Amino acid sequence: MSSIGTGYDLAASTFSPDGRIFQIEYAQKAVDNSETMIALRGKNGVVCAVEKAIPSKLYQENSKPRMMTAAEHLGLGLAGVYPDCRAIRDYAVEEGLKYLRDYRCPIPDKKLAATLAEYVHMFTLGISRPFGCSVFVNSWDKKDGGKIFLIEPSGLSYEYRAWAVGKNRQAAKAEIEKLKLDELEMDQLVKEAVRIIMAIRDEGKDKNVTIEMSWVGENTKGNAELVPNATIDAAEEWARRALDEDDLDD
Amino acid sequence: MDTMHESLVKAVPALGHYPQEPISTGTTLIAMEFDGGVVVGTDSRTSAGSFISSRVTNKITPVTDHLVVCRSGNAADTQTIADVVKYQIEAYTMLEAEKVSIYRATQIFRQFLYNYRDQLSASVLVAGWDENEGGQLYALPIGGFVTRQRSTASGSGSTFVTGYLDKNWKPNMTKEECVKVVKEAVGLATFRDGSSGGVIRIGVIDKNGTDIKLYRPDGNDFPKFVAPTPHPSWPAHVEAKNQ
Amino acid sequence: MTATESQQGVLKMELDKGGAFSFDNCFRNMAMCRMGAAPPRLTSTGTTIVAASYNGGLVMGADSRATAGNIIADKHCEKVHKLTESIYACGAGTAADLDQVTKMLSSNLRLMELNTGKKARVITAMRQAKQHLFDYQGYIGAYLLIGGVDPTGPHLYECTANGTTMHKEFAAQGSGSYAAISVLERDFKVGMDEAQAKALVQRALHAGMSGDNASGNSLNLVIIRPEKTIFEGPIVPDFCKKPEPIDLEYKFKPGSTAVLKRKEIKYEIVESMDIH
Repeated sequence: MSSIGTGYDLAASTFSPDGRIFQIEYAQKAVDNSETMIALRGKNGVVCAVEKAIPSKLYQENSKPRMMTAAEHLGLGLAGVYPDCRAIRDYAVEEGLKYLRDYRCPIPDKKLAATLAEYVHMFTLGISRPFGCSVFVNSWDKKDGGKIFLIEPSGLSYEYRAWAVGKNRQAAKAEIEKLKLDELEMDQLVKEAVRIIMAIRDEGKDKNVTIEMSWVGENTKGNAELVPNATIDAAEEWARRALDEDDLDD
Repeated sequence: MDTMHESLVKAVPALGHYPQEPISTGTTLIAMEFDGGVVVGTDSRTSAGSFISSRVTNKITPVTDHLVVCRSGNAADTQTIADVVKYQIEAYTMLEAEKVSIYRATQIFRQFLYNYRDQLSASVLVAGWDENEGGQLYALPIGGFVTRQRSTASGSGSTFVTGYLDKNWKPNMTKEECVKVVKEAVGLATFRDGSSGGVIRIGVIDKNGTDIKLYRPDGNDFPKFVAPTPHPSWPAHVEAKNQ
Repeated sequence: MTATESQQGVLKMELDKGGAFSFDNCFRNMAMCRMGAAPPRLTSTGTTIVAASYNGGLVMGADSRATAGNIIADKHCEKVHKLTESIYACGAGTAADLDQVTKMLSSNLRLMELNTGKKARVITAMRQAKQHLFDYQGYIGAYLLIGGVDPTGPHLYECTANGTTMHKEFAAQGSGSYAAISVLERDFKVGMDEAQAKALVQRALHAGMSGDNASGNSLNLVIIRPEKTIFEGPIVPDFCKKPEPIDLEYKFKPGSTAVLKRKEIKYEIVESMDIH
């Protein structure tokens, strides 16, 4: 960032002479530096997983959830500045309820993603600071199958087959690309997600880490739910063996 | 169903205010779902008090290619509702680049009818076809309550034919069977209801779109009923002399 | 009150002025009527207005009587309003409201024609009228027949004060409409020529004008063709002409009355005066 310090990065209200808005790029940095989060779409569902470091033993279990819901059928995976994540989630819930009241049916995934993107974009226009977080919107229904949307701090929103954000996203994406996602059943998808998270873990810092995970698919009847700890533990066990085998191969 | 404010009903000569009777579609609306579509049938009378202000009204108002709304109640109110909701549906279709489902369209009607329930006197049937749910029929009485119906009658003429419909509805009816029953029911209702009359309009909405047909009372396919012949108006001894 | 408060007060008044009509006095007047106060008379166009379409065009017409109670307030009032070169509106109801509504419509339509460079359509005039009238929930007492010829052909609409609109081949409105519509219902035919349509509208107006006390005096007609519009009137039907023909001659020849008795009265001059 050669133009840093030229005064164009103090607010999102001004473009730099070469057409960039630094505040948005900094907001993206906040996500890029956060813990790695991945979302995968398998044969009959979507899983979303994040690695979380626990800074102190004094925290209650899962005191800082990053897997939440906007509605029964819509899972949210929130990466980045935590209070911003909560603000987005509150807005998403509000919009979901508003839609339900007005049209008496659950808000479509696409519609929520578009609404959130529009909301996030509003904050890139210089009135306030941009959101320092990215949001995965995950869903599954019988007709359309699994869906993954990601809304970025710039207000950009795309639909993905699978994606990763955060610290080790590049490594995660490289791992994801090796998978035949469309063929993976839900239980396999969970295992692979855990394996990827563990594979890209920073060496030596894995003392107080845990994996938080949510899924939405045929097995949950289209409801977005947290993956039970037992399932994650089993997957970790499987992944550890798989990774050890890889090491032996090497 | 006069929900007009008292001050509106009374004439105020000082203001040159001589309100006409509110124009209303004292109406017969009949509709039925069949596998793959909906059949709707209406009369064509519009009245202002005892005056028939139109005898060839079209109460089946198209909203999209695959959605119609059948109007009853205050004519100005229902025309406005149809206009506004049509606009909203067109706007949503463009903004979301996706067709608005019949259910969702009905909910837009409901919102309007409910939000303005104190000002409006309108009751409608929403009938249409979409790819996911097929033919659908929703009844929205005054106040904005929604029910999906397989067969329904509404408007002033409905009281005369609910029994007929109960008797003649059966599961898995074909389009032709529905058209026959609906047409007959509208005919029966206009036969007995003073606020219904004129021609019969039958609309069929299915995957091919909307097809509205008109049946004139002087045509061959208009339902004909034989009324019981009256007894002589004169006492027997007078009648005897007349012959 | 501090300076800022009074400033805010002024600002609020400024903002409050924004509304269109104030109906405060309507409710006061209604309350006064209920208490038995005699209301002032207001000019209302107890009216007959008629329109009928024919093969390619449209004939519209109206009587010209404006009444205030039992009094004929105006014998030659104009009830056929021009909206554009080829769109006209006949009005029944409250005269003041009709003037305002038709004035608003004509200016809006002209502005639209200038902005688009195209002739305004009849349906545009109808929609503007209906939406405006619906907004005011019948408080604007304008009952209109809006008709004309536009690039899509001849069209005629009926529009009530409540905002109901109906597309019609022929129509009548106003207090004389019951008589007029009977004539139209009996004699209207699809595909008439101009002369037939004009005669029919005239007959329907005659029926309204002779059968309704609030209609009469004279009639105005407008014939709208695709290429041009002809305005005719005022035409005074025979039965409206005044004075009505006198059936008997009341002049008597001198000597018709017999002299029964004569008496002469003498007088004398007591005082006189010169008049220059």
